[in-house]
Amino acid sequence: MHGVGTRLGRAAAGWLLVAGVVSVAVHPEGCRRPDDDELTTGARLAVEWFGNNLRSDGRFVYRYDRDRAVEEPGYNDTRHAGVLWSLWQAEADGIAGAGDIAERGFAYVSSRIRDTVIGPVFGVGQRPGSGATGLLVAALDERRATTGRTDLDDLLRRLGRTLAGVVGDDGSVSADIDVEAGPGSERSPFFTGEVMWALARLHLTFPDEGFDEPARRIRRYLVEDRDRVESPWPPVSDHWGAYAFETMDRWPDPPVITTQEEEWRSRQLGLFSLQVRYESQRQGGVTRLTRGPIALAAGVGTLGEGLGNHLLQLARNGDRSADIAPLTDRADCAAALLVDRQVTVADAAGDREPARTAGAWFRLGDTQMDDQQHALSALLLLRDTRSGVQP
Amino acid sequence: MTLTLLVLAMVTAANPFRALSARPTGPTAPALLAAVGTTGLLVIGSAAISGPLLELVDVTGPNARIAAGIALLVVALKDVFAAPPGPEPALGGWRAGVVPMAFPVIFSPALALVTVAGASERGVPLAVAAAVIAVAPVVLVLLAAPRSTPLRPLVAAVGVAGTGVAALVVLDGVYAI
Repeated sequence: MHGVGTRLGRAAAGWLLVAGVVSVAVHPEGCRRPDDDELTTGARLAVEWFGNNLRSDGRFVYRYDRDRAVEEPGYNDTRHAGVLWSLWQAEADGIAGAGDIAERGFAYVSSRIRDTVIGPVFGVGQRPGSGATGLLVAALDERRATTGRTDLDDLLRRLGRTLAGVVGDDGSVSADIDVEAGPGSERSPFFTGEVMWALARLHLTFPDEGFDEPARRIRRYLVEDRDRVESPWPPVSDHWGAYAFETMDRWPDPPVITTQEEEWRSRQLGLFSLQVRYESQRQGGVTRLTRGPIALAAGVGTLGEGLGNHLLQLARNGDRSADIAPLTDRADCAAALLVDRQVTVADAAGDREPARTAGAWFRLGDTQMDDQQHALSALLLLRDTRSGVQP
Repeated sequence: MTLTLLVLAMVTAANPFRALSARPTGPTAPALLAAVGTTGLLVIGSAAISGPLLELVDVTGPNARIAAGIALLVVALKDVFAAPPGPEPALGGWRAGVVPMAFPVIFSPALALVTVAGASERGVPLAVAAAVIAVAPVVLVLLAAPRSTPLRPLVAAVGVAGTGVAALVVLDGVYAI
């Protein structure tokens, strides 16, 4: 009997060893389903952050160090355009004042639109990026849809034709545009989706002007060639591509999902979900040792944006019904991570510059305006997704 | 996780030749019955508590599969590199089927976690059905294998297969939604 006890003791030790190894690899996931009011409040706070951090020249505070209470240098035109899109999205979603902030932010844009050999672009320097123009088109198109104003239609069309000009015959997208020589050979993991989304939106707004053809070309390239040619591993976690797919699905003549596209979408859903599951395990304490610090809110926001857009499209078409519930769980989890990590007005009260911190998301003491931008868009999209998706 | 992968994971987690190494030297039939019965109860119990258990520890199904794969990897590596367990020390008579055969030899942490992960994804009945299929080779080996069977290489061979299956289970969890 004594020998049996020893054997059972050793077995218990073995189970504990396995449990220890497993617990290092898999942690509890801090997920929940925030209610709609939490999402709205979070979005409203983010909009207020943009309002409080808007300069007289139309730029926003780009990066801020909470611990030292200092602004850090730098600016990024693509991200500025992204902020304008999110603000007009917020205006469309009923957050009063967001559109006014966006209009004031547009002042910075209007002074930086310049001509190139293929048309106007947004940006400075000899080789502006195509992504900034892509997101500007999305922003202005959202402005048009939200406000009904058509005063910038001519600019919108001309920017759209520029974007069509950066799409290669194979559907690849030039990330840079030389002012004198035209589209360059650089590629970007995100500009491809941004340009595709912009063109997809333009086809909805101006259906007879041929913006669908280059969008379709990008779509084929993005699904079949992009990862292989540009980034063999890991595959791009492409929230902009998700926006583009969702938008093209609302075309009057939406493309039929091909087998390859379905495979790509499956990979994307897996990527977004894996990242949400991993991020939700970062809950401070010992998880700092095994999972590291929390991700940028911009990153978490893109996960919500990717999941939200794919969910909308899947639900609209009745596709993959068995996956809707787990995808909704992941989307809720991404939303909860954002809500729970946002600096509230009460949190900010103890800061030296509360206007710089309230409504923002910080990682290791820093925030950047795209943290607020992606988080804002994700919160709004995920709230809207709930009305279109029944898990 | 496909049903095939679930069965393979359970077979390698239970490792029939590891079970054979713990077969009592005396009459085997009563002990074998006790081993199968006890293992069955443990598997059914694991499957039944899978939902509440994962909720309690706040782990999603895909991450449970990653956990199961890692547990299977550890147990499989032990099968590859460590000497197989022997029949002694054991409880007397038919109870040797309970200790050590059912526990700790057949019902390893890998089998427990694979069952939990399988039940959370495919439901309790399917997970139990998979376990029945997986335990069949164990019964077959225990009944038919001669005492002269070279255990070490066979246990290790199933262990090697187990490492591959473990990798597939982990990847299944990683790529899942």
